[in-house]
Amino acid sequence: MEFLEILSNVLNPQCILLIIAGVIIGNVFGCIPGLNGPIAVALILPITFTLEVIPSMALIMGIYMGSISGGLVSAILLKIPGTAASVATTFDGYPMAQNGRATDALSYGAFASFFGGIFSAIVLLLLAPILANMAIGFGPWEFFGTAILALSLVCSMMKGRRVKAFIAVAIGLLLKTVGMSPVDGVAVRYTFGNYMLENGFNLIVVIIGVFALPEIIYNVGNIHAKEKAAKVDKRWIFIPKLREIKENLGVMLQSSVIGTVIGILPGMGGGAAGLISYEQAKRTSKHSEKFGTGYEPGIFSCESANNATSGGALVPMLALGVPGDTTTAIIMGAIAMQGITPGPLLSIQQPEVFKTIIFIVFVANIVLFLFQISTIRFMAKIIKIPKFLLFPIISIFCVIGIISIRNSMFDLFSVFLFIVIGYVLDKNGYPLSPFILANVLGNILEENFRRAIIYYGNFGSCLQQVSIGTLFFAMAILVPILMILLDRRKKNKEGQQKA
Amino acid sequence: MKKNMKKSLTILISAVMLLYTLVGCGTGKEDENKEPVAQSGQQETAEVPAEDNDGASESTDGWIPEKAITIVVPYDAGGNTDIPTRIFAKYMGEYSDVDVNITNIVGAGGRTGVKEVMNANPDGYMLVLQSSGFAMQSALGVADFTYEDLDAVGYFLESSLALVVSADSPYETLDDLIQAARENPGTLKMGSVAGTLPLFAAMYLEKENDVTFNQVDLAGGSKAPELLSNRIDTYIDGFGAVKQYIDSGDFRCLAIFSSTPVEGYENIPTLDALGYENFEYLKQNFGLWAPKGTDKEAIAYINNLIKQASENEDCNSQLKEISYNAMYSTSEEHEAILETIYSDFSEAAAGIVQ
Repeated sequence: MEFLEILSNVLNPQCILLIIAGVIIGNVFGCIPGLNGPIAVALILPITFTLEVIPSMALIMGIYMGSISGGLVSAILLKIPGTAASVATTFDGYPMAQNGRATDALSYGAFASFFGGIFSAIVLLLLAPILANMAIGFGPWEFFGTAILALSLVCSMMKGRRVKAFIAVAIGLLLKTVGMSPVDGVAVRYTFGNYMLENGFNLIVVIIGVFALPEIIYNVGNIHAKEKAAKVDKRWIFIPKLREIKENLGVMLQSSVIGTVIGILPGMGGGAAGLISYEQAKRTSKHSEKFGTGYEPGIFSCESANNATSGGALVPMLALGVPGDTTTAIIMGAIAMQGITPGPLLSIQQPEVFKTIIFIVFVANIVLFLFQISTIRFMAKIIKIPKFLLFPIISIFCVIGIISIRNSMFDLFSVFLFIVIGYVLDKNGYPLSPFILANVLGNILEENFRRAIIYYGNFGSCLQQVSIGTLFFAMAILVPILMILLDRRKKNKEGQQKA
Repeated sequence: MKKNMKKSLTILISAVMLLYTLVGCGTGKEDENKEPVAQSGQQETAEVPAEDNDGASESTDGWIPEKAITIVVPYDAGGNTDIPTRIFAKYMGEYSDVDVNITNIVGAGGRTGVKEVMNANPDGYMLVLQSSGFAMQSALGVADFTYEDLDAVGYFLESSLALVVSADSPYETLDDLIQAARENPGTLKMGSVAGTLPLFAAMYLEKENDVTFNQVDLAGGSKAPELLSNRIDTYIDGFGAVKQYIDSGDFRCLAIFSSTPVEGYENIPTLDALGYENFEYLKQNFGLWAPKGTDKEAIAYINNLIKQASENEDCNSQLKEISYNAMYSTSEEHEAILETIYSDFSEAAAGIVQ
């Protein structure tokens, strides 16, 4: 009976239309560099006040799901990640599109998003209260361990460039210290008296500066280069072949688990999930050398992981009243405006609301999938637009995106700094993904390290804690050393064989 | 033929992309959510006729708004401050011919938003939310403006802080907690965030009882999980933020920083009942500020909107649900209270600034 009620709550024309509208708005915001989910949800917030609880959730969840996945389109077609979550999608998506397989790449991305989204929604439905309690067990020391392990793993996988990767992380972390310190909130660092720097550099500014604009500048240099004719099938619906899905099922499952877990941990978010699962897929693959050349599992891993964070981030929000990321923080506000308090009481006192929200997440993922696979045909044509038209338009979007963060011209000027940093790093063989991940995790790392010290007194007693944090910290140090030693041995063996 | 098609397709797609841009801007305009503040004077206005405007026209002969009034909330959309302000603004709009919109300009602990409004045209259309946070920041030397750099319009929201411990904690009363802090100085873990009202509340308890807590600095929003997992012993936060955990039986509330009990929670002792004094500056009240030099009649008009909204029953019940109360004060009272709050805070902060 209850299930029928939920069905009729969601599957009515108003709700379905709102979900569709939300998915489309979210997709557009996700696709355009600089605009993102939190901005879309914040813009729509006043409209939701005029709606009832369930329709307002339909609209907002549609936007949330759409925005996470929208980034894949610009990442694959233009090598410009729409959001931090789709940074890793550029690594294989763009080469694949350049090889004339743009529609394939988009359909892989759409399917992986769908898979990750549904996977995490199932986890949310079945395990929310249990997982939420696990998330509580994650204290500052555990967060610190997780963040440092994530950084260390991503660097360790940069074969042949490990030292440079660690240097890139260090530069990223150093840049992240600009502004108000995340713990005492009074100490202001490296602002040189400029109050615009008090909040540090926004992640959107960093991504646009490091990825989007250098790519545009590079392309402007080659504006007369003859383009490879991309094949655009005249199909209406693009779904990966069953064989391809089967081959990548393992990667998608692994990445969805990583994405869901990272989503549950408040503050980590889609950016970290995408990069970590990409490197993890690369590490466990038999053909790790193919990654970065347009290899399918590269797209499947990142896109399933970043969408899986959505369900994960909803777990602590719905079960504890603690938002898992920026978007869920605003969503929590929207729910509170309706007179409903997300938290421990929600699933007990209003189980129908709790389950309806989860059901909306399912429907939104299905709508999102249908929307994406049916628009691939048009989206793929974006790369056929002559560059002299396309790149000015993208530049405009980048500028709008940066301005929309907080209406500040200062952010626009600071983007030049990141263009230079990105260019110098890239030209000298320093990998950019550790740099971005350092920017994503920098605050979490610092904040939790300092809190751990406050809790346990000093670093030594932190290390004596019997906790997963200590284990992760040890792994973060041992893994790179082991990787280097293993590589040396391999090299020596090869050398001996040659001799 | 083929060439032509290609060309037209290109133009079409670019046009669509450009349209996206316009839509992007359009949405912004509609919601007034991320608008550049300085320009809002020249913006087109959404003039929505109010359903009930009897009250508005009676009391104001001098100043009548011609376009939407914007309240800048210098904190995140959907946050603990944003939500009650949005609710209240909705009801303010019901008594005016124009809309009362909310814009979030976030940054530097709210100071970015205040500075934008300080520099805005003092025409009565730009207001900013005033919280006691700014008095604190001024006392700590972080904010370079005081209440004297803006015009007070009036208070409209009030709420109280509450001190909570975990439900399985050995501390049954505030006295138990203070006693424990006295026996083991500096070991009782009190979660707080630097530069926030709860921190001053914790310092107030330390000073009054001559004890010291181990102040654990937590980033905003993550206090509840720390107490749920017993990594800290206690924390102080707005009653609205802890209410759901009290209801669910996870937390026990030992005291409310107020002289009147919270409706429906009369069994929780107030600081007043526990014999404490001079904690009025620790109330979490919100008012409105206008740029310095705003037309007195414009301020009177907006103050009148606050008055009418604060008497609206729906407004009151909607705010009560999230543990806020609507309140009303004249702009003169607001100014006077601010003066005492600013001096109270600089006195309290003297302890940590040295």
